[in-house]
Amino acid sequence: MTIEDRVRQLLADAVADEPPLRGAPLDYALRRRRRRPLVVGAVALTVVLGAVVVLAAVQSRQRPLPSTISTNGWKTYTDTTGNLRFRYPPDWRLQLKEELGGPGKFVTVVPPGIAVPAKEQPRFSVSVEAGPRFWIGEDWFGTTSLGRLPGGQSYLRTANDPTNTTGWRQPPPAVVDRPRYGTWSIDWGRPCLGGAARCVPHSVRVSLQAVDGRLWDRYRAVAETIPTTLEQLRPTQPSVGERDLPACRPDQWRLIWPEEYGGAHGSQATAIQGGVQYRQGPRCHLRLTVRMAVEDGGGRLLPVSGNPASITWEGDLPLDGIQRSSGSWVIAGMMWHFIWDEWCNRGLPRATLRVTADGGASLTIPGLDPTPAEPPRSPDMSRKDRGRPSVVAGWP
Amino acid sequence: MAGDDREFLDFFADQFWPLRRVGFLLTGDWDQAEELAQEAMARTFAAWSRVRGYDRPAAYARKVLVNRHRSLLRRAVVEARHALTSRPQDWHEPDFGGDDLVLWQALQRLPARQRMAIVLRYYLDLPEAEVARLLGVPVGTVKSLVHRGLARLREWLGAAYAAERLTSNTEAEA
Repeated sequence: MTIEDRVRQLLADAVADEPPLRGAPLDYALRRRRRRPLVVGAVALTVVLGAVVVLAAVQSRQRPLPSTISTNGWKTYTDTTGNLRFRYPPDWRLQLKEELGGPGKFVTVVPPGIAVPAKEQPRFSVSVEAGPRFWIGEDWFGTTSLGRLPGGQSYLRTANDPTNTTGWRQPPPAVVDRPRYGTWSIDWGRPCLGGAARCVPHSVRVSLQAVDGRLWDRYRAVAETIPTTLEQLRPTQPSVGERDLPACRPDQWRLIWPEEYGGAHGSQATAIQGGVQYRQGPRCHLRLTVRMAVEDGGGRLLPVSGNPASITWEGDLPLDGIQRSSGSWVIAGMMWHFIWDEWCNRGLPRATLRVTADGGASLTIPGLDPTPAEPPRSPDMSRKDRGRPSVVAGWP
Repeated sequence: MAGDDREFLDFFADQFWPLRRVGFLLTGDWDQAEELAQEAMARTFAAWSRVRGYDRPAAYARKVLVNRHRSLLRRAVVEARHALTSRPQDWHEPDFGGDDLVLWQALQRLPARQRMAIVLRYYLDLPEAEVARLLGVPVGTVKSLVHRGLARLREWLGAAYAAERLTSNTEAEA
């Protein structure tokens, strides 16, 4: 049985034993239409209340983290398969979750006093997982920062914006009662575990999560220190590949954007991600300066901070190229990422993204259109100019 | 009750349950599935005077459900993805064991867009173009999402699909 058939069967089986309804959905649907004027009024009231809550929250958040937290006496966790070790406070508990991990183990550390239920996530936890991927789009949300660990590894850190109320069942809980989460995506080099075929760029992903703002505020400073203690057990080849290989010729590659936006429309941050397609010729090394410009329809740069942004893409071909298989892009190689915060700012609708690289390679990417698509989607109040600066930057 | 309301009742009787099943496969939670389907039906009814003239009103309701699910993804749904909500005592899960359980859990852990693409493609058997329309992305992106999703599922299934994975890799490199 192919994997496709297996998935078809599983999906059909999963819904075969359907539980009874809990509510009265037909009544709800009929009632909703009759109450539309009331709903409009309620939405307006919610907008006003939401604005008040957001203002209050903006003033109270962004508490600075303590500049240093001592890690003296912390325990060390070692994962030889993931080629990593990290430290965690001695009174925090470590929980292994190997059943679904990638090549590295999936581990969670939990503060003292937080229960670890058998089938649920703890109310606060830090998870660490290594894997062969360089894909950050699906974890893209909220505020972001770029940096390097003490060992030199580049990271991208994100945290959700708890003041964003898009999609909450109405009324949303108070800001302090909303969940918080953050992710560190760390460039982990090429551990080359399991033979040459696995000698691809890896990343370590650290996820912090809390059920509410109180637990987040209580444990965040210590939790955010844990990823800064990450170390490689043995030096890996750099994710940039083998610089001793012959340089790739211009006819061996082309710039590719596989129509991917990583997106967090709720947070108005998006990651535009692409790579390089290998075309022909012997194994070679490619180092490219990739530049992305945000332009208006006339090719003029728009007033976005950091515009144009540029990064260096470096890797080996064909291994790090994006492949095409059966008509689909296989996203397994090195990716370039441009992160555009507050893309939906005033004056930016329908911007064109122009990506260029050395040797005249170029791509034009259709811009992000802030006009909501049809049929109607739920009110998405965040897709507006929020008066915050629009910023574009590259990663890693 | 007006004639178009009666038409909607028939439509509801036919389509609510399939929508709820799709909602479950997208969220892994029957309660959330019911809310998604309920919301999709309420919005469809609100636009019923227009939607009833469409060739496929069910496609409209499905689009609303998918949009609603997507709009929840980056907040409440990231919450769900991290499984932070406490589960009620009568939490209802499929009775899977062995590899099926691994596959089901792996499906739940897929990035949301990959899971949506796989559910729409392999549960509803929709063509790629229709999945692309529902997700609001180009067809190429749907292919990419499905391909990456299946690749992850193969990885998690491990040895049983190793041979297939090797074949796929070889083809990709050819």
